[in-house]
Amino acid sequence: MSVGYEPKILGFLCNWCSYAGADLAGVSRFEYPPNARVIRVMCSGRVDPVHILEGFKSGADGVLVTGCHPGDCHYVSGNFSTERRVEIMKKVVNKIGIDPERIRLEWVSASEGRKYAELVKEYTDSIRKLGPFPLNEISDLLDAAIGAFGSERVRWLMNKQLEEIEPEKAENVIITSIEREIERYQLFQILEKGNSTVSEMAKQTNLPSDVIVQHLIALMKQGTAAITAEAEHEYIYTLSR
Amino acid sequence: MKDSKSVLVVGGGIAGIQASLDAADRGFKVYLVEKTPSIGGRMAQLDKTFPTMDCSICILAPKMAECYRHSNITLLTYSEVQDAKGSIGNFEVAVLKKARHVKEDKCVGCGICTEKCPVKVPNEFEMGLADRKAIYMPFPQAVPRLTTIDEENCLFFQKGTCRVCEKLCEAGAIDFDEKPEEIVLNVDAIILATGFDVFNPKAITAYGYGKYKNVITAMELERLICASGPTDGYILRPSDGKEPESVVFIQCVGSRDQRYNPYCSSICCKYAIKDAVLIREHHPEIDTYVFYIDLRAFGKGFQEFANRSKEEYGINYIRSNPGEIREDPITQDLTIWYEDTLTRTIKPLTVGLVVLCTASIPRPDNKKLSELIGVELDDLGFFRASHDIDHPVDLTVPGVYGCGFCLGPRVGDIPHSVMQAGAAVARMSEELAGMEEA
Amino acid sequence: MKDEPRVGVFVCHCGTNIGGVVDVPEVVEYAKTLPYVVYADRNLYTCSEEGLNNIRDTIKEYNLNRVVVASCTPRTHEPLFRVACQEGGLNPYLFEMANIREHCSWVHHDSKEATEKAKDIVRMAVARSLWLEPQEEPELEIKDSSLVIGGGISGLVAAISLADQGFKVYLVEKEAELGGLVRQLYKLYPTLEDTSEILNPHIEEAKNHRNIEVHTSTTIKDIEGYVGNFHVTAIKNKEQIEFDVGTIIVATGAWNYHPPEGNFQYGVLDGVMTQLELEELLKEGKLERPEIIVMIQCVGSRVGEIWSYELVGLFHSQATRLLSKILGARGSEEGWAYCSKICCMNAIKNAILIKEQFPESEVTILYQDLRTYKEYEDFYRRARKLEVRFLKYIYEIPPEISEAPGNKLRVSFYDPFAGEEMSIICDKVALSTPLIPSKDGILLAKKLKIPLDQNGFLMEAHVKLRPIDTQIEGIFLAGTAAGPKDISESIVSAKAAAARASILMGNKVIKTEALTAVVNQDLCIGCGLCEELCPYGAHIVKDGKSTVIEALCKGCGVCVVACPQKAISAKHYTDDQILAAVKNAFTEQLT
Repeated sequence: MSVGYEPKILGFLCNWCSYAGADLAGVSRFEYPPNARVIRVMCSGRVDPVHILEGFKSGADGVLVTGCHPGDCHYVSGNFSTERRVEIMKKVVNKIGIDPERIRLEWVSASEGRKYAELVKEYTDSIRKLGPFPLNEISDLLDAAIGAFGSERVRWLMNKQLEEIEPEKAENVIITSIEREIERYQLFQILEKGNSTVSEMAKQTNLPSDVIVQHLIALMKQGTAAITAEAEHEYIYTLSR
Repeated sequence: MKDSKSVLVVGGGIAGIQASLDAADRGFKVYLVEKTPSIGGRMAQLDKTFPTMDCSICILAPKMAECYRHSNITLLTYSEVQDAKGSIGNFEVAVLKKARHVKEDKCVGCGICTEKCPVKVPNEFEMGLADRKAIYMPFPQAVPRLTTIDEENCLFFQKGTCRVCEKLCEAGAIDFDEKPEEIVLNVDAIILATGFDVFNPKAITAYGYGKYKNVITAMELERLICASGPTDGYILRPSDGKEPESVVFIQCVGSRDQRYNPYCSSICCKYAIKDAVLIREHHPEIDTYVFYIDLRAFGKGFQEFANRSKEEYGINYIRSNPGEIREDPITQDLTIWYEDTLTRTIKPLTVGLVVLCTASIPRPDNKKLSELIGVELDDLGFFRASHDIDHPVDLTVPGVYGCGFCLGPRVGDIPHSVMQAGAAVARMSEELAGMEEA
Repeated sequence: MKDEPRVGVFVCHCGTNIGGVVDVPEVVEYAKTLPYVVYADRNLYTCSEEGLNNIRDTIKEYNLNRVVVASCTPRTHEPLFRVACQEGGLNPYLFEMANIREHCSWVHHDSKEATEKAKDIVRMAVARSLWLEPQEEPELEIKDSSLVIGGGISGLVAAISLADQGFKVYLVEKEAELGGLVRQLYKLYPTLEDTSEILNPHIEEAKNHRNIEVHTSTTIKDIEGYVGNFHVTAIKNKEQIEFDVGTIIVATGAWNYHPPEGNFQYGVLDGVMTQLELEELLKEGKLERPEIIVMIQCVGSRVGEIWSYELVGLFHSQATRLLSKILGARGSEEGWAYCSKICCMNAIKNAILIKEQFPESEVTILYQDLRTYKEYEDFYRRARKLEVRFLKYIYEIPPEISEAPGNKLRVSFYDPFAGEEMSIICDKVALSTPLIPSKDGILLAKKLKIPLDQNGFLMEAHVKLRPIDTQIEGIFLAGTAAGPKDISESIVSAKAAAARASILMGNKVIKTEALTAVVNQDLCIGCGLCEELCPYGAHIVKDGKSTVIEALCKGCGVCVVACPQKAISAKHYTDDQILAAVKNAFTEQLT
């Protein structure tokens, strides 16, 4: 990787365990690299996938989320919600070209000052090996993902307990659905910039034409997109709003 | 309980501070009397607290500030109890407010007076390892934050000249004419929290304290290790200002010793482990040794920390009570001859700095207070509890309670002092509520 | 942003704690360049009276509507600075802290890097501060009654203290009788009084006190609610009782540890017993003639870092950590890392009692370090005068016990002072075992959401300065539930717990958590996901809309992230506030 590259780490720390653990690292003078910038939240369950993705957009090369150990959550079960969200997220981002290691969830208790210091060191090294976040390459995809993870459908899927489906199957359904949502947001973004055709969209997104057509039909059903003209044997799509 | 009850708290260390805050929150009108110019006590002098390694002043300063701001607390610093009479529900206490010669309502604590004062005096807060001026602020976080003129050293009071501080003070806070003032307080109860003194190891000539410059006490080390202390936290030998290659801690200096103090001070093992670890953290190259009789690492988290100190920090523990220390007149290094009672060998050990973990002893003030108030002292000079097990914070006069180290080295650590303070407030509330009913 | 922000930034040197590593003047100069910052300066100690006055005065002088203090951790100092803001006329929630000490100067040694990081941290705090909104802390009434859980000496003392102060107390004990572990003891050190002389008056007083309702044979089934208003459901002799209290004192005590069978031949050879079992023999007068007795200290304590197998399952969160420790520990022996602190005095007490009763007895105490702290040193001397033998063994070579001819026991150990293997033929061996966390305490802690410390005792809010409070407001710890204590110390802690509880109840009202979730009724479609997720039952969906019960909401924000409509926000932790910090973590994006 590039010489002298210093990775930028964004950390979300829960107030009760991990922030206290980081404080203890300070009180105990456990030295660690200065690469992390941290944000205190009351519970790791407050960390929104959108916050994590916005972190990448704002220059982070890796995002570290830390919470209380399972069973120790100050809010009973907040960290379980976090765990589920982060697990799903890691699988989804992998498919859009973000190494899942760039998102890390760890448990750090109030008494684990040393663990916190070592975690920051180890994670910084790990991200150093991965190199800088490919922000320029996947900027559009990242925006689409931010839109998707903020969408009604994805938020419902990530948080609703789907009890009637087997857990593994459920996860596959969720991940595929989120991928589809990201694709749809990619098209949405293209249309936001101006009118476009299926072949132009295929070129910009590398998505197969039939997939694009499916999404466009869905968008038209929602009333989000419409066909406004025809040119060289192709329809021109426009955003309705 | 009616909300007009009042209490006198004597001593502004952590025990007295906590007792004042608990009582004030409980609705008592509190008069907190402190002999020195600032509250804070011993805990303010410590660098870190064991075994959590919290920065001592960092956790204490907010409590000190809270005392100052609390609407139910009247701080009477630089003041001493002169007289006391009456009984529970109706004590009349005379307090002498010594002349500070600095007006409380005018001084802004800017410190220009201390900068320009020409007289240097050994700084008590820094255990004499640094100087202060004749007009001084005891330490940076002092509460109340104002300076005090120490008459015994002030040129004006001694020779009638100078008055530099008065000329420089923009706030016009200096008042050379101020006279001591006697205040009479009517209170329902009294809580004593006079703390402890440190045994002067000069008495043990074989250790050479006072003769060999590189033999210091643990309280002195506490200031050396402190980042805001006289050496900015560097361990430097008093003889040459150089970093020692090795440091030795000697336990039970003046305690567990029939000649001086028969009891165990109960904090020394714990702070020695803490200080040894801090030295290794600041200077990993300094070898550290602890000479002990029994390693008394009891209390929450202490044994675990003692284990860590050996395994992670490489502190060397030697079971021995060394007989004599000799100084090399040229290098001023110190040689300790000792018998390692575990290996039964007699060996010498030469080190650069020796730290004596001295006994914690009763304050001489206890005697005067016991005479004024009528509470008994125990054989050692600490305040006697009315029952060792059942009434550990009641003193022998109803309505008078104790907390902190002035009750003797009970458990002798900060959390227990804090608990005793709470217990004293609970006892006071119980007894006064009982009187009201009767 | 409704009003035009006017931010004041106060950077703290903290003596040399920050100033020694971070270039504080540079940080101040940097802060001045940030948008909306109208004031930036530094203090030696911002938390000092001078520093706080400076905040108060500057708010007025510069008409600040946001304050940022760059100093230490908000976990200890935020309350102090918030009060200063309030006194300066600013809503305390328009205050933000930048932690440049614990998270910066104390963990980074390179001055340049630390200064750069400090600037980033300050920028993040300023960015967040722009989005802050004033919040109100609603007042909550505190019921003037208390629940004391556990009728041992600590529970009794706490209950009587509160009752004497005029508060109604419900004292709940799961056994049929009051008295707890102390009831099993014979005499108490250092006064050698009969246990009953101390304990019985407390039991009688509690039973007869008009302000105390004693419920024995009663277990806690459920506790709902929050400080000031806990609703308690208990089962008393199979019947359910319910009552409301304002505060709770947990005095569930500790257990005496029993070594597993075979450990030191316990449960295998007759005559091997725990120190407590020996004391029970003394109490019942069953020690009828002079005997040779060996006491072994630190059995099951100070032996590595593993816990009693019996309790392991209860610490599910640390189960993996435990397992690795068990595998790596000394042999397969189970034990507790800490020093139980009362065992030395207890052994000496029993040795004295035996020698005074039968001077011809021979008592030997095998110890690692004799911890007769404070004035108990006298007690140790008294035992030595009575010719109790004190011999040291070392941790690495624990004593071994075997059968000896004539129905006797042989204790073999290495005496480091003599430098040789020794053995004593004796009649009885007493194992001094530690006080360990009680199962009831652990289960109750889980119920009340009180964290446990590394050994499984209930954790205090701050080890040094808040040893009685828990993280949960209105719940306090008394006695050995928080760790080993002797009786006098337990009494002190129980009185202190009563004091802390009485402060709340005496004041009748407190201010509560301002930082709750809030539902935008226009956006909510009543899907019910928040109701499903909330661990506190704080969301209630009614007529197609969700509302938050503020007194129940603890402000964790789990519902905020889940809400598909983005209808919920967390006060003081809104998306705008968090994203402002995210966006400014590495580069300036303030405007």
